[in-house]
Amino acid sequence: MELTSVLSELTGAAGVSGLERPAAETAARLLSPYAKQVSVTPRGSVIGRICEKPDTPHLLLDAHIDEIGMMISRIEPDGMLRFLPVGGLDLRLLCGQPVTVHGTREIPAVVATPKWDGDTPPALKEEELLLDAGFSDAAELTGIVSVGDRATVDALLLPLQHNRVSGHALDDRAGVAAILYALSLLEDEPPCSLSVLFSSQEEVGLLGAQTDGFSLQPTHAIAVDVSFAETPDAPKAKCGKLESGSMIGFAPILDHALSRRLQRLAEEENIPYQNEVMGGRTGTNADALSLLQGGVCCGLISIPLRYMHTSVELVSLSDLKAVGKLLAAAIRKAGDILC
Amino acid sequence: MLTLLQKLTAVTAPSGQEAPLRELIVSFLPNGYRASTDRAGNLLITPPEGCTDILLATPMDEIACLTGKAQEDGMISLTPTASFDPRILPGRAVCAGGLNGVIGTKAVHMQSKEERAQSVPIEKLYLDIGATDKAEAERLLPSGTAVTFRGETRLIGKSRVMGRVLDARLGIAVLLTLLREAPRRVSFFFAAGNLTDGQGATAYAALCPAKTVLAVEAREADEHCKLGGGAILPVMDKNTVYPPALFQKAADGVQYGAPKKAPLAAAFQRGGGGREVLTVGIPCRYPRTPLPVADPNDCASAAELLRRLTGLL
Repeated sequence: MELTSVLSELTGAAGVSGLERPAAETAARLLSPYAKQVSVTPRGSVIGRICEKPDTPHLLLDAHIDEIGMMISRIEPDGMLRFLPVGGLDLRLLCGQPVTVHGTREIPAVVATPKWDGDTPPALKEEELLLDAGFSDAAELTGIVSVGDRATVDALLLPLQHNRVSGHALDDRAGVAAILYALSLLEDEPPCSLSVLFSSQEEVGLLGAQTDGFSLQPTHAIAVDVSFAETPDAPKAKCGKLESGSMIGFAPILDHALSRRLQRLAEEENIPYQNEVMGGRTGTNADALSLLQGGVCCGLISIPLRYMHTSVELVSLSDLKAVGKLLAAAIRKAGDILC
Repeated sequence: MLTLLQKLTAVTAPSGQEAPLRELIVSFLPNGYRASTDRAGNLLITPPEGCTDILLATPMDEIACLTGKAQEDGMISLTPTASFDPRILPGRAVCAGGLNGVIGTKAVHMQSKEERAQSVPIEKLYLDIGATDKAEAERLLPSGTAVTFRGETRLIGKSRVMGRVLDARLGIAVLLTLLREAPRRVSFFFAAGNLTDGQGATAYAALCPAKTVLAVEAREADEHCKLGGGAILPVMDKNTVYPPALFQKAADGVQYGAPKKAPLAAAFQRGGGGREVLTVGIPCRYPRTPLPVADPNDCASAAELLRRLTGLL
């Protein structure tokens, strides 16, 4: 599987929380060669049934398909589009960003930069958030853009040095790609039941994992998400390192034994890994998945990512591969891993 | 006009590194016209008859950064080549020395309430090209490499254009529109380093033989000067006053603009004993950002105003 082109396809499709369909359909298409059955749920999640084996543990691999973005909240009389953040949008880096408004057709626009007086200005405030789509009158937008439409920052997937790539929505399309990569590595039928969930609405409260994960009734789940990688301005203790492999999560809400077994597996298989320790909830779908149907043994594997929630999120393909390899190894050795 | 703007915005011209744009402009040279570049990097185009009394002038350079020292982790510091709103830098993909790079910032989850409310100062931002250490970063991008903004130039809305550093190309588009008509009474001046306090124009103005200089440049649109409202005629500018007779000749069908810094006009007004100058503005939203927005009809209005003015002079 060619990871860069898969990532490029996945990040090229829009999937702002609550309107994930373009990204979900792309992910469903990429998942279908590995699954007996693939569907997009009414809530915008993708469910793939890879293998069903009675009387075996049922492992669910999850990555969220949605991305942070913008929602049009008002069309101003002068044709400017007022918007609200969807999910944790960083308002400090919106000025002058190119945007696509997903109306009845795709409309190019730019985030308006307020007049600058030469000083160090404060970050944009929510009430200043405006898109300029080049229209001069609200009437010109009738039938094209409506309140509630989503908008996304435009960003191509850019290759950088050392197999690192940058783009938008790598949180968590990188996780989706890692699961697809894991499935591509499986030569034999898994020794357990296996399902995949590319869940919607993670960025607005883990909703897709809670609702669409419910019907799957897994016994075990591994959430695959991204986590902070070191940058000069971030606290080192809270960050993983690029090219150091899967970040295996340890947290009170995670199944400790499963985390330990994943760690041992990575060592046995010579797959690079690092540990990520969290003191309570993880802020990922693992928090929701662990509560499904009376409780699920849940693990968390994260891909180190720089500049989270920006349009220049950065990951190393070697880390994506490490996560894919670890997941594939966990599936192959399900008998030992899913106790 | 869109095609011309697309061509002009596809090449980069940070202050002091305008050569690619100069080459592109020279490719528009009519038969018999002469192009020369001076030591300041300015480009002068004269008709076959030689220097003229009237000079049409416009700036060439765009906002950019220069790379500085790299850190041990391969992150590269940045110095802006002109003053601009620091909010445009973080979260931005850029080009540097033929390589892709990004300017990131720590995740919003890790920011304090105070940090979220403030823009990130440029000195706390780094260029990340994916280099893993200082030596690699400095080998790939030696200090002083230009870092330019990426962006697509395209039509938006009904008739507007959003484009990469578009404000720095509007005046050039107007002058090239006129140059195609091969007028014999005017020369064309494309200024280098205008964003560094009109450096290029200041150097040339000391020797410039023209008696009248008409400066053409983007002006920030506001509630009075709107996109699509035609050329802007500033009533005066900060440190530049326009001669009433010349101003009156231009004052027809224009939008009157508020005073702004006008280093191009100021340089010609003072340099080499001085001469009469006038600024013709083209309304532009979000100047000095990576993706300004303008209306090509305003370029056409500015070109028409210049035709009329040069005919009257």
